[in-house]
Amino acid sequence: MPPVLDVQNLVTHYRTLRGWVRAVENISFSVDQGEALGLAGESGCGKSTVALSLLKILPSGGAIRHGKIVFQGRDLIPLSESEMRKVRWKGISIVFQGAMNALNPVYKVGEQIAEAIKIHEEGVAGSDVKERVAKLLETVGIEPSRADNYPHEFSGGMRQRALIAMALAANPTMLIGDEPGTALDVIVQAQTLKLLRDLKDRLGLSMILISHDLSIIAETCEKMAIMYAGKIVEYGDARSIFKNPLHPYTQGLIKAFPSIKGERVRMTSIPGQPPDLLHPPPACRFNPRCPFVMDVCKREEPMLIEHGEKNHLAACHLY
Amino acid sequence: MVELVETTESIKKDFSPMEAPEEVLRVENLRKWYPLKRGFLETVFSRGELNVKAVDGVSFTLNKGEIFALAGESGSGKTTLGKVLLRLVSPSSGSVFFQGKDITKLSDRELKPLRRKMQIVFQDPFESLNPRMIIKEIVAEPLRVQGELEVDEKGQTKHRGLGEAEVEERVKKILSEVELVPPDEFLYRFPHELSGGQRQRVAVARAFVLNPTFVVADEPVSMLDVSIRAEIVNLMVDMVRKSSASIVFISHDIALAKHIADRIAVLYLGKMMEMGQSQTVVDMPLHPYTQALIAAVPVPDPDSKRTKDVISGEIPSPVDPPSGCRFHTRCPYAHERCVNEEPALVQVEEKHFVACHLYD
Repeated sequence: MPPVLDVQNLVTHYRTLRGWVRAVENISFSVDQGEALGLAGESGCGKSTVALSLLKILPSGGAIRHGKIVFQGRDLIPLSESEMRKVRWKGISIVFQGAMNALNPVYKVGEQIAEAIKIHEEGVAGSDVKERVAKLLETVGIEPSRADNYPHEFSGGMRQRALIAMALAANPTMLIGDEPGTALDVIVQAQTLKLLRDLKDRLGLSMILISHDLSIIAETCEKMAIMYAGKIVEYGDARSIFKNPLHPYTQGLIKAFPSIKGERVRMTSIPGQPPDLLHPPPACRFNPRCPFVMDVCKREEPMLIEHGEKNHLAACHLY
Repeated sequence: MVELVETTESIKKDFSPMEAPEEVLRVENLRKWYPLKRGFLETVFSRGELNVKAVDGVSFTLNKGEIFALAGESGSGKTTLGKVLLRLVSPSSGSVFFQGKDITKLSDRELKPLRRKMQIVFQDPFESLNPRMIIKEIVAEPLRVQGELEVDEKGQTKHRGLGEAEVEERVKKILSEVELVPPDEFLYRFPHELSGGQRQRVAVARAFVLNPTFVVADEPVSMLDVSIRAEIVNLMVDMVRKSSASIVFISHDIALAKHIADRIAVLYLGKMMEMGQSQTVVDMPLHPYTQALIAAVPVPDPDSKRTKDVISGEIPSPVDPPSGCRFHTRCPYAHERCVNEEPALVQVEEKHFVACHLYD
């Protein structure tokens, strides 16, 4: 079976007064039916830009300059805005970061979910919509009678759930979660992730989960891509990447996380800081921070290829 | 039970042959209630006042050279507690003894000489540094305000203002200690020219330039990128070891707290639920809330997924906290006594305190 989403050599840049910001540079990945892909990386590595590119909702100045986004066998890039509207929400749906601010404070939560249904399904009956809203709220674990509440009457966790319900309004094939639960407390975050896992299994959703927190991806996704400065540096089976991280950046990132288990240790960090994407370093973009840097790293760009294990790719000259 | 005994033994082995630690701060039954603003009619017709009970009866001591973590969810009162320790806000009741004096009772004038010994590092280095001041001025400001204390021949402490050359020398010294090297390159730059990590180093330099006795660090790394968090955390640990200052480390990340703090206190709705050596609290939590908090922390290991249960619900409003034990509305082990009677924070094994009816 072909993958639900197949992204090939995507290049997205932002135009600024000082030149093009190379936010996403030549990345490829695919997501199968019912599969969850984790997109990990630090802030500014381009992971949110990937999500916005998939839906073609880039802010002004942003442009997809190259590549293919094949969703259910069709390339989304040449589609017109009106054709794209049919893909959004029904095909690919997104839950944005910042649950606290994503809902409109002056409309009832139920009305906001109903709006999504009405816009994407023309001619649907009013009573049907009401029933659907109740069902959606129930799906995400909110008492259906709360549809008449305003967002301020919801707690942070409930607002996040309401947003997920809204994203599911038109029965999408694929759900993108951009840092879901990041602004929430650990316990509420754990509840949200559990809900997403349940929904994925129950509805057979394909998912892309964007997060800076590797452990969240470890708990939710089968497949992952590590991004650094607009490029994918390691890609493949999540278990294999965690067990045997190949790229020095992945190794550093995994070590930089304090683990709740085990002995107390002095934490380790990756020296230096992420590069300026207006003028990224030549060849391998990680070379100024890499502990194993060689001459070739500054001359030639490493390819993202398999090293040993199947379904585990890394872009590094070490291998 | 066997495991419990073993831990006690290992704690004794690690920490027992130790002279009594020197006490820096003693907090007794500290409360901070914020009154709620209400309309005129509501005030006339309803009885009693409504308060947000941000901190509600917390006691602990901070030892010299120690990193003491306050962990908890948002709304647990950890930031308010940090502010009260520095008397940036005055408590509603209770005492904070610092060098034998109850700082909650001092006037602003009496407090000023003590201020040099108590400093703070804020969460957001993008907002805590004045964007119109150069780094040199930011770090020099505490020196200019507080000057230098010196002991003269008669053994009297005297206050002395610092000359320009001396200020610059002190600023350079502290900048190199926080690894902003060479310091000359940073002195005349503005905060916006620095990265987040470098900015937080400036904030650390500002806090440590007066050789403080204790520093409150309020989520100092939560705004930083993952790959540079460890640097800042390690820097703070090193500064503590070098200067024998103490740190009250406020963090929502209990995994981070485990690795850097000597002791952890877990707060919930303004109350201390559990307190002990950090390794013990995290590896063998006693309070059901601490257990839930730790179970909710995601683990970077794909094999451990989908095995745990998450407790339901969210932290209740601190205006009207639940009766008895504040956690009883979410606790899987709650029984009748928890609803009616508030558990006290009691010592159940060496240096391990818990406020739960399961253990008293």
